[in-house]
Amino acid sequence: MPSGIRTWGTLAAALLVAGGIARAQSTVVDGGLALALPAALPTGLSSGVVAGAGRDHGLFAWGVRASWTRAIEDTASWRVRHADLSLLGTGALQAVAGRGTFALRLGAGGTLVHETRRRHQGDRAGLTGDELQTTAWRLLPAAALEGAVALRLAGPWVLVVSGGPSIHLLDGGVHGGWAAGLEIAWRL
Amino acid sequence: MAPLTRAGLLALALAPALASCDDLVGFGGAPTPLARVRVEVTGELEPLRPPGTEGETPRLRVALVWAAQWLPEAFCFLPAESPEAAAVIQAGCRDSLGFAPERVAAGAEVAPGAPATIELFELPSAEVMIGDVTARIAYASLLVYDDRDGDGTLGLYHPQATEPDEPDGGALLAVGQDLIYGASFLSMTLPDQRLAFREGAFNALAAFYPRSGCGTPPPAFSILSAGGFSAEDAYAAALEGRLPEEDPAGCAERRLDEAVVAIALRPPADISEVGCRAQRPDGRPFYADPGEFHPRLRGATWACVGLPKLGANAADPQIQLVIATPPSHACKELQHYILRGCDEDASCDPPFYDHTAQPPDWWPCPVVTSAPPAAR
Repeated sequence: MPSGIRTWGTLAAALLVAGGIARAQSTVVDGGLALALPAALPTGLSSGVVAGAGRDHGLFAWGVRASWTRAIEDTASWRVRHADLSLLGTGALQAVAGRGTFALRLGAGGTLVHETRRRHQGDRAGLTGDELQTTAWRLLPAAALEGAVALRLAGPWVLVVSGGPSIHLLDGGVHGGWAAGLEIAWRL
Repeated sequence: MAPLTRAGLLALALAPALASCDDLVGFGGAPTPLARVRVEVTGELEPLRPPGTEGETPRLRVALVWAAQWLPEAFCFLPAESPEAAAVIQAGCRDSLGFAPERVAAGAEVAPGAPATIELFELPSAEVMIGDVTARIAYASLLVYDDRDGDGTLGLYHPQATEPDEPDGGALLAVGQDLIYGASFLSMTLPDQRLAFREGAFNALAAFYPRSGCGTPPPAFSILSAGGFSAEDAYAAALEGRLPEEDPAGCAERRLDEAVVAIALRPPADISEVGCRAQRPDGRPFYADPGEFHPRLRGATWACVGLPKLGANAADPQIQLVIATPPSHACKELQHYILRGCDEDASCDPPFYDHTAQPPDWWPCPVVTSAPPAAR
């Protein structure tokens, strides 16, 4: 088991023991900023927005999370844009400690990648069509394991910081990455 | 809660099913050429190969060479003041209306009678784009050459001075020197086909390899043709402050996919000059100090002539020694010597050197001891 997962698991278990169990039967919606390694690029920083909705059941929670991020990277010949639209179903193990809630969230689903490659200097050279720019779509199976910390600010408003490793299945292999978010949640 | 559950399950179910759409390329894949120039070489190579190369296996290639902006020096286009001066001009001055190379950009293997394509992956750089950012243009000639050194690119020639211990240092057949057998754009006095890259507007008054009377080059890359004009027409037009006119019948402006550039093979000795960089592109001669340099005059073509009566030199009475490079050299070049002056200004005040009181023993020209008016 990777050391990161083991660490999060240990932390979650400790919090469950020390901090008690999250409140039961509430619905949470959240939205905010997202950062991630692009789903199908070996390097770069993909930034965008994330939104989610979930339902607490005491120790457990489940929900869906959607994010849209975009990365723009350059090679010697191309400007490559990847827009990643990700939709994950999530299940979480969570615990309350004071004003905070700590969660370990596992998600699975897919990431729709839209790729645009534009040839450097192609406009100046008068290139058109596929010689100037190519586009492609691809849906990649995805999974993510995130640790999340939620801090109650006032009333139903909650600040959530999350992050952790992610994987995408690409061309018969596993493309490892990471994702992180800074969100504001509203607990109904 | 129920709709969320269904949506999540639907996404999870569809993800593997839709996992194959287009292929993502990412950072990989071959770059698209920015231009493709089609070329066809005509003629036979073997009869044109110079003595000394028979034992070599020719590696014929075509190179795309961007043009330099250059000016001939005044001595080369003003009327010769003596038969000796005319001989030096003939031997040491390159074609004042000829193509001068600045940068080799791309190349491809080529064979006589077979089509070839040059793929260009970079736009011309700023030093070959002539004009300002709102209207600038670059021209290129396509040179066919034997890649004798096997490095896959055309090695441009550099004019070399004749030194006593290296009499053939700049010879055309120097070891490993690539030999040029053809050019699509050799001189403005000959019919030419040139690659053009235009950005912004076109300045029809620019005197950068002008083709006045022809159509405006289209934006981006194109192949231009012109029939050429005579040197007499060019000089007459210059005196009248205008550009020489091309015959519109010889003009054409084509897109790259519409044109095939035809290049006829020619003897290297006839066209080697097209591969010579302009040593001093601003047209100002370098005046060597005869107290420091001792040129070899035996067998050389040289003359004692007055300074060109232009600008600051107009009233300078001193006599200069002008020596032409040997005919075996790939590049024509002149060496200038004066007894008093500076490297780039014969009439400078004060001079960097002054040997008028005691000229070197070998100095073959009359000595003028009076200083130019500016130096008095």
